[in-house]
Amino acid sequence: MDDVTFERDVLARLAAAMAYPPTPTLRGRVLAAIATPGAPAIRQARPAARRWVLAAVVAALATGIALAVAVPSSRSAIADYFGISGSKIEILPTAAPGVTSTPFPTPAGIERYATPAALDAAQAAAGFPPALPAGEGEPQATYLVDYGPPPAVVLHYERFDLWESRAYGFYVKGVPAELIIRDFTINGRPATLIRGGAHIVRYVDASGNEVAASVRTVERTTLIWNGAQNFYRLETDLPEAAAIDLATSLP
Amino acid sequence: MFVEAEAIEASARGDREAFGSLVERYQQAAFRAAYVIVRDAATAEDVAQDAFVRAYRQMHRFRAGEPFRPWLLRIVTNLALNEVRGRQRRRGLFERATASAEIEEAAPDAGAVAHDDAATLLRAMGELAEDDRIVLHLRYYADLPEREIAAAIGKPAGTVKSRLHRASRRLREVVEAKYPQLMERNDG
Repeated sequence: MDDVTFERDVLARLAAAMAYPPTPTLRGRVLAAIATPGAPAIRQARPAARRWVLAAVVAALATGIALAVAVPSSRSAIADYFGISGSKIEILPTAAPGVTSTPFPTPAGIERYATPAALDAAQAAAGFPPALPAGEGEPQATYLVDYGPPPAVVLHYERFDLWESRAYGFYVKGVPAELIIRDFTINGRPATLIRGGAHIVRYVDASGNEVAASVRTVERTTLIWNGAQNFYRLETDLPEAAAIDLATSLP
Repeated sequence: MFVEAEAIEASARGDREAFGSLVERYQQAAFRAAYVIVRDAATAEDVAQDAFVRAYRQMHRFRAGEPFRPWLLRIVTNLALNEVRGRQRRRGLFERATASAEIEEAAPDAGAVAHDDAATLLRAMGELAEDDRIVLHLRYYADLPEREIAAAIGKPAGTVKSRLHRASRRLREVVEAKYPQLMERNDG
């Protein structure tokens, strides 16, 4: 079979025979995403905060391990939530035309920032029983992340990591403006979804001190929300709808 | 009546309803272009949505008079490839962390790929280099003519032509070596 025949009789014919799933109706979702108050086009960090975030990212890269710039030193920063206790989101400034954006730290595997633990040992260390998502069974692995007492528990499954915490500090997320940020509720409590690319995260403890070892790049879709008692973070490959279903199953 | 140029111009001014008409017109192309790369309907839906949102935010960069579809599909293709690369990289990170056995890649929707041969061909294409896959996807699945592929990937039309030829030949070699039944069924 020559090239022309292959292109016509195999490639073109079989590509045309491809059976696709039904095309979803995207208009409503897209318009909601570009109109929601949580969308980056509207959600803007204060200029001072934007400069601080950029300085933080640059400093983290310069030291290779941590941020060395000033952080909000009082609990007043904690009051600056976007509705979720345990989390704060800052929109990173867009690089000027012709200027290359500062790269994020190289993504690291979970073993770089978490310690493996048996589920019951993790429960004992964290001081609460981790909630397991419905229908997922036991996690493939369990980890503890100790950025400040009490540690957070991370339940590792094939397609997601579920963080559960009752710590008093909070996570700051530096999110590039082009990513999608959606605010909504899960079980009546505030939730935020970050999707569409990498963002940077770091932990600030209850005293307002940044935990240097906490700085890392998150590439996956991230869903954060408050449960009845726990602060949850889901980092996942799952599609948005499946991630929300999973989150809804938790107390 | 839908007039693309007017919808684009209005969208660039922030008219969301006008952008909505572009979404309706091109959602199938965006979804399918994403699907042939990520091979999962729900993920393709997210990718297509993200591509439209990103396109809306970058409308000020869109050059008036250019066709919208290849520009959009370029965004779709980049996002879909990022999704696949991220998935592969994260799988690698976890494997190194746990030294576990191989983790199976998520299977494509069983009911979605109705034609076995078409699915087999897509699997064969998955063994090609990324550059080759992109041009074949855009030409044969998104059904873009060569000039629109050139616009989509930002390369001259001559480069697209030669890349298509090269990619097709490499695909044929993969099919002959690993999936000869596709050739045999078309010989008779």
